[in-house]
Amino acid sequence: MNLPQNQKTFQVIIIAVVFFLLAMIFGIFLTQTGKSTKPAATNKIVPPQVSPASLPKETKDLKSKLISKPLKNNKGDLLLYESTNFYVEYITSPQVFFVKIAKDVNNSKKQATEWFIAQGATGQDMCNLPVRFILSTLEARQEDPKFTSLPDGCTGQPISKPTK
Amino acid sequence: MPVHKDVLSKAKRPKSKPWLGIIFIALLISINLSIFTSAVQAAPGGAPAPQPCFNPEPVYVKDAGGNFVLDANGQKVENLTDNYLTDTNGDPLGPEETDNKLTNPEALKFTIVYTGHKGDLVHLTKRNQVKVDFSKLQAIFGAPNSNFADGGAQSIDHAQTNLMGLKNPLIYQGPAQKAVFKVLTDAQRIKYVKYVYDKPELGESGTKFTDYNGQDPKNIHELVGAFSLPSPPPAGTTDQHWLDTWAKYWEKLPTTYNEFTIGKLEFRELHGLQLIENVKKGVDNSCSKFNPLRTVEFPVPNFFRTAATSGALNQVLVPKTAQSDQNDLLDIKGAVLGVKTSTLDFLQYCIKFAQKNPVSQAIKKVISLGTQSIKSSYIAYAAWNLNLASVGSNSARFTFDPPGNGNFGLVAKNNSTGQTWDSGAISNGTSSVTFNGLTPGNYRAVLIFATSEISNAVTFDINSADPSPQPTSSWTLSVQASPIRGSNVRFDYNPEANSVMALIVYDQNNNTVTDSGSIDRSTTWTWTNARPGVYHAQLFAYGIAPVSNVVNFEVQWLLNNPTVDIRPLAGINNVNFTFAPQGNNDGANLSLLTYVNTTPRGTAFYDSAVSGVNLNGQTSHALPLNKVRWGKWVAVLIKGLSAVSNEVTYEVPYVLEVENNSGSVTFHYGPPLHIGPPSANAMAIIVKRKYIDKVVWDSGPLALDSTSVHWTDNAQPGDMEACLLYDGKTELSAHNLVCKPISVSTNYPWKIITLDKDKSCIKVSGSGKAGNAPFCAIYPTKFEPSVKGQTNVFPGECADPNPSRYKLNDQSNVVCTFTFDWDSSKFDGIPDKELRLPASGPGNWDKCDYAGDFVTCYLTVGIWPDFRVPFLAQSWNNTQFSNKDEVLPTLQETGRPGYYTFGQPKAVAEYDPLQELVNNCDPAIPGSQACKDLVNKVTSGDYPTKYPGLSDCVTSYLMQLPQLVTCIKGVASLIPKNLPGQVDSSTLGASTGPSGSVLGTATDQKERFIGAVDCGKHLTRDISLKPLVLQKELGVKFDCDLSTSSETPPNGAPPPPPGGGTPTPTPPPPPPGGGTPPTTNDCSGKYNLSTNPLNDNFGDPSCDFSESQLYDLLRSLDPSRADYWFFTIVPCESVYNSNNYNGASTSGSAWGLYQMGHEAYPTLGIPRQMNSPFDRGDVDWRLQTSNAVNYNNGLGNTFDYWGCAT
Repeated sequence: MNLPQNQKTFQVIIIAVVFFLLAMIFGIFLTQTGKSTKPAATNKIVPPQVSPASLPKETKDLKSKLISKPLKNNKGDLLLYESTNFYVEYITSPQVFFVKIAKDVNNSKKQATEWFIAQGATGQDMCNLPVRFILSTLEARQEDPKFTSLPDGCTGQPISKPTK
Repeated sequence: MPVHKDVLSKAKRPKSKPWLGIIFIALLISINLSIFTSAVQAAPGGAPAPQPCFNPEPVYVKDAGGNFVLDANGQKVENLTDNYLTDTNGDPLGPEETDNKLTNPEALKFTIVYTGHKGDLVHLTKRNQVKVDFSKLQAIFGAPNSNFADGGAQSIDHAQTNLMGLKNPLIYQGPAQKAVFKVLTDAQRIKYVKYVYDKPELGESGTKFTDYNGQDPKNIHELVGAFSLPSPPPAGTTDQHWLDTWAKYWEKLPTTYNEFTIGKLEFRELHGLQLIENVKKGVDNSCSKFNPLRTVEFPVPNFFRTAATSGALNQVLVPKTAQSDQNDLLDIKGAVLGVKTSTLDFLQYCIKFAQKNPVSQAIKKVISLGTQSIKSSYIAYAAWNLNLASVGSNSARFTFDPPGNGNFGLVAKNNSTGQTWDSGAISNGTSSVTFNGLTPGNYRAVLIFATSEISNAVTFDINSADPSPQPTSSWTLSVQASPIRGSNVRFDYNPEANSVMALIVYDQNNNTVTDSGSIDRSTTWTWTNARPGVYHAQLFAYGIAPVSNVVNFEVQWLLNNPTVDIRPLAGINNVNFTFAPQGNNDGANLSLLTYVNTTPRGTAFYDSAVSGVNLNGQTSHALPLNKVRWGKWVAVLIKGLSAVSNEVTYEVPYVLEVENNSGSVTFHYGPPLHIGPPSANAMAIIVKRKYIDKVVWDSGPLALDSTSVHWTDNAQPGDMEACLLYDGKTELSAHNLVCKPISVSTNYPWKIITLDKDKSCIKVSGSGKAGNAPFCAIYPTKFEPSVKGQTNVFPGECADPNPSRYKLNDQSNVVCTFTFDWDSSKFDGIPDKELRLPASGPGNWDKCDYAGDFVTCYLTVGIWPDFRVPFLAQSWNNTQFSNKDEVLPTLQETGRPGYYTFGQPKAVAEYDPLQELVNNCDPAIPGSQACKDLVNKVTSGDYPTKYPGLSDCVTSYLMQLPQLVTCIKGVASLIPKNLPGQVDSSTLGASTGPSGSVLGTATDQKERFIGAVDCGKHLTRDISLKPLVLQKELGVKFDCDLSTSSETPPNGAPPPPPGGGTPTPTPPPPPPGGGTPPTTNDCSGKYNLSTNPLNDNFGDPSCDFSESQLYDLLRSLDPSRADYWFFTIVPCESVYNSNNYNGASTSGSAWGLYQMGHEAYPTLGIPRQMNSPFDRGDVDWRLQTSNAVNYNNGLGNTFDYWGCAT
C-alpha cells in the first residue's frame, strides 16, 4: 500500500494510544494487586500480670535458673535459646521473656513452650514469668492474624490507650 | 673500541697471578655480603628500602642530658610500661569467689598443698599456655591515637593531597601541627627529614609527598637529593629559595616518624602470699621480685609517634602546674625529638596501677589461657619405717609407717634359696602386709619404690616344718584337712608304698568309690575327680589287707573368689563366680547364695535357685544386674539347707568414671543406683575444686536406676575432685566412697569480646575497626642487642589463620600460643632456691602444719602476663593523667586529660548553666521557674541560630507552654555540654568512668586527646608564622572553631572533624537533626540494610540498641506511658527494629521503631516527609524515641498519630 503521509501518521498515533491504554490498565491491575495486603497480627503484647517481686519462690527460682546462663548478653537483652524459626530472650528491663517467632508460627510456639517446660516451667509459670510471644516478620504476622502474645492457657489484655 | 680490545687482550694472557684470584673471590664475597646486608639494613642516606617491623628499636630510659639511665646492675633501664593482666583485685588470674561461686577459672594463680617428711625436697612443675592474637593487640596499641594527634600525616592521602584544592585546609592538619608553635614544628620536621633520610629501612621512607598543588611527588630521599637538608628561615623573614623548594612540601611533612620499637610479653612469676600482696600494694620495692618465666618480643608501631606528638602538645598547651613534673619533654635546642620518661612513676605503682589500666583490660579480651595440672615428684625417698610384727611357721607380718600410697611395695627375699615374695603396690592407707607360704630360710625384707629401697630392711628366719605325726600302723595315711574343696583329694603315706599296695576310697555306705591301683614307690596319691560327699579311705595290700590307718574326710565344692568388673562408662557391671566340680542334683539342686557380709548372717540377698537359675552341670554363675550392688558380701553354694562349699567374701565398689570433653563433663557410675545399702536415695556426687577444697557442684540425690549424670557443658577449667557420696552431706568423712581427680579443659578460652563493643577499653579503634590497625607479625628470633638471635617463637607456636592486609611485614607469626613452665626448682629471689619441706616454721612456704614427722605446707603462686609497651606511659601521661590537681580556677583535676585546661572549650564554659537548667526543668510542671529559665536561656543569645531545632520548637509551640517546654527540653537535652573526657556514652567522644578513668565509646575514642583547639595557637601558626603566600593560597582567615570534638549538634551543624577544625560546608547525609550519623554497619548481620533506600544503618548506627535500654529510655522520657509505648506501639509498629522501614506506608514511608517521617534526601530524590521537627524516624533509636515522645506530647498525648493505638 502506498498511503498518504498523514494517514500513516494517524495509524501510528492510533496504535500508540491503544498500547498506552493497555499499559495503564495493566499497571492499575498490578498496583491494585500489590496493595491488596493480607491481614496481619497486631503484635500488641499483654504486659506482665504479676509483678516480679510477687512471684512465687518456685517461679523466682525457675526464673533465676533460666537466665543464669545466657548465650549472649546484648546490653540487657539476654539470649537464652535460639533455633531456626524462633529465639527466646529475657529483657532485663522490664523483666519479660520474649519469644520472637520468624516463621512456622504455631509449630514454633509449640516448640518454644516445650523448651520452657523442659526447663521446669509449668503453664502458670509461663503466664507469670511472664513469657510473651512476638511475631518478628510480616510473613509470620500474616500467617496467623489472630495470634496472641500470651502462652496457651493464660489470660490478659494488651494495655489500653492511656488517657491524656 | 680500543679499551675493550685492550682489556680482552690482557685477559687472554696466560699469566699466573694467584693474588688476583684471591682478590676476585674476596670481591665476590663482599658483593654477596653487601647484597645480603642491604636486604637487612639500608645504608644511611640510601634509597628507600622500607622494611616495616624489622629490627625494631629497643627503648631505654634517658635522663635529662640524654644519657641512658642504668640500674643497680649497670644495665640500661627499659622504657616500657607494664600492663599486667589481673583480675579486678589485681590478683593473678585465678580462683575468685563470689557468692560461693568461682567466677574465674583457675589458670595463673594456684596454691600448692604438699605433705611429706621434714626435709624432703619437692619438685613441682606446672605448664601454662597463653594465646595471643597480635593482629588485635596492635589495634589496641595506639594507631588511631597517633594518627589523630599527627593529623594522619603518614597516610598516602594526606601526603598527596592537593592543599590548594581543599575547601577548608584547616582540617588538614592534626592538633599537633595546629597547636604547636611553628618554631617547634619546624624543628620536628627537620628532625623528621634527617631521621628518615638516615634510616631508609623505615616503613615511611618510601612515602611520596606532593607539593601543595598535589604535583611533583617526592620521597624524603628524593627531596633531600633535590634540595639538600631543610633549613627553614627564621620567623619573620622570607627566603625565596626556601619558598621555591622545601616550602612547597613543608606543610605535608609529619612532625614525627613512625619508629618501630620493641615491646615485650613477659610471663612474670611470684610466689608467696605476702609477696603477692606487697606487689599489689606496690610496697617494699616488690616489683623487682618478679621472676620472668618467658619473654617474647613483638614489634610495636605507632607508639613512639603517639608519645612524641602528645608530648609536644602537652608541653605547649597544658599549664605547667597541671603537667606531670617530668613532662618537659622536648629538647628544642638540640633539635632532638626525645621523650623524657615517666616510666619509673608507673613502675612504682606496679600492679596497683594495673587495676586502673584499661589497656590491660582490653588485652585480656584478646588472649586465651590454658593450664595443666601441677605435676610433682619426690626427690628424697628414704622415709619409711618397716617393722617385723610377727613370724609364724611359714608366714611373716610386717607393719610400716607412713602407710602405703599406691606407689611402693614390700619385697622379702629368701637368702637361702633366692626365692622372692613381692606384695605388689600397697594401696593407699594400708600399713601392714603379711606373706604366707614362706619356705624355710633366712629372709631380708624392705619397702621398694621402683628400683629404690625406701625403708629400713628387716631380716628374719623361717624354720623347717614340724615333723609329721607318728604312724598308727605299718603305713601312716593322711589326707587334707576336711572339708576338702574341689575335685582333687591328696593322700600322703609313709613309708614309701610298694608294688602290691593300693588306696581305696569308700563312701558313707562303704561302697568303693575309687581305687588307686598300684602305688608302687610313691608317698602320695591324688584322687582327681572327687565328687562332693563324705568318705573314708585306707591303704590295702593285695587289695584286701589293710596296712594303714583309716582317714575320714568330706569333699565339698570349691567356690572361687568372684571376679568383680565394674566399668560404668562401658556399661559393664559384672560379678562372676566359678566353682568346681560341676554342680549336680544329688539329693538337691545346687544353688548360690549371697549375703551382706555381717555377723551373724542375715537373710540371703540372692538365691540362684529362687531366681530360677539351675547350677547343675555348671561351673560358673554371674550375678544378675539387679543383684550387683555396692558393698561387702559373702557367697556360698548350698544344697537344700546345707552349705556345700567354702564361703567367699567379695566387695563391689562404686566406680566413678568421668567423661570430660572440652568442658562438657558427665559422670558415669556403677553399679546402678537402684541397689546398695543403706539407702539408694542418698547417693550424690559433689565436685570440689582442688587446692582450695571448695564444693563447686552438688548433684543432689541421684536418680534410682541411673548410671550417669551430666554436670555441665561449661565446666570451669582446672583441677577438680569429684566424689561419689551417700547419706547426704552429713557423713562425708565416714562414707566418702570414692573420689576421683578431674582435670577439666586444659585450654579454656576466655570469652572473646569484640573490641569495638568493649566500653572499658580506651585504646581500640572505633566501631568495626577492631583488629584493623596496622600490625606486625612477630619474628622467630629476638632483636634486642643483649639477646639478639635468641629464640623468640618456638616452631609450631604461631600461625596466621586469617592473613590480613593490615599486616606490615611478611612474617606469619600472628596468632601464637605461648607455652611456659613454672618450675619450683627454678625459684629465685629467696635464700633457698629449692622448695624443701622445712623442719620447723614456714620455710619458703606460706605456712606449714606439722603432725609428727609429717608436714603439710602451702604455697600460693601467681603468674601475671605482662604486656610491656614502649612509650605507653608517656602517651598516657601526656594525654590522660596529670599528676597534680590544677591550682587555677578551672575544671582540671587529677586523672583528667590536661589538654583542655589551657584552651578551654566553649562547652566547658557552658556546662553548668545549661546542664543544670535542663536537669531542673520538669516538663510536667512547665510553668516552673526552672522551665522558664530554660526557655529564656535557649531562646536567647546564639542558641536559636546555633541549634535550629530550638527555633523549630518556638515556631511550632509558641502559644503552648507545656509542649514548648517539652520540645525545648528534648532538644536541649541532646546538646552535649559535657566536659571534654566526660561525655555521655551515647555521644561521640569519650566518657568518664569511676574514679576518673576515661572510658572509650564506640567511635572517635581518639578524640579524647583534645577537646578543642586554642585559637591563639591557630592565629600564631596560621597568621604569624605561615608565609604570606601560603596564607593566601590556603585561604587562611581569622576563624576558629570552638566546638568540642565530643559535640553532636542536634539540629545544627554536622559533627566537627577530629580536632575541632571547621566543619565542611556541605554536610553529608543525614540532614541536620539526625543525631548520630548513619553507618553501613549491619551490627553483625542483625539488620538487613537493603530494605531502606539509604542502605544505611540509621536506627542503630553504634550497634548499641537493646530492648532493655529502650524500655529504660522510655521510662525516663515518658514514665506514665512507657509501658504502652513498649508493649503496644513499638512491637506493633516495628517489632523493636530501629531500622524498620516501610515504603508503602499510608503517609508515604515510615521509619524506625515508631514508623515516623523522614528528612529529605535530595541525592536519592526523596522529599522531606515531616509534620514537625519531631516527626522523624530516620535517626538513631534514642532520637527516634525522643522524637516520638515529643511528637505525641505535641498531640496532647493522644497517640492519634499511630494506627497501632487504635
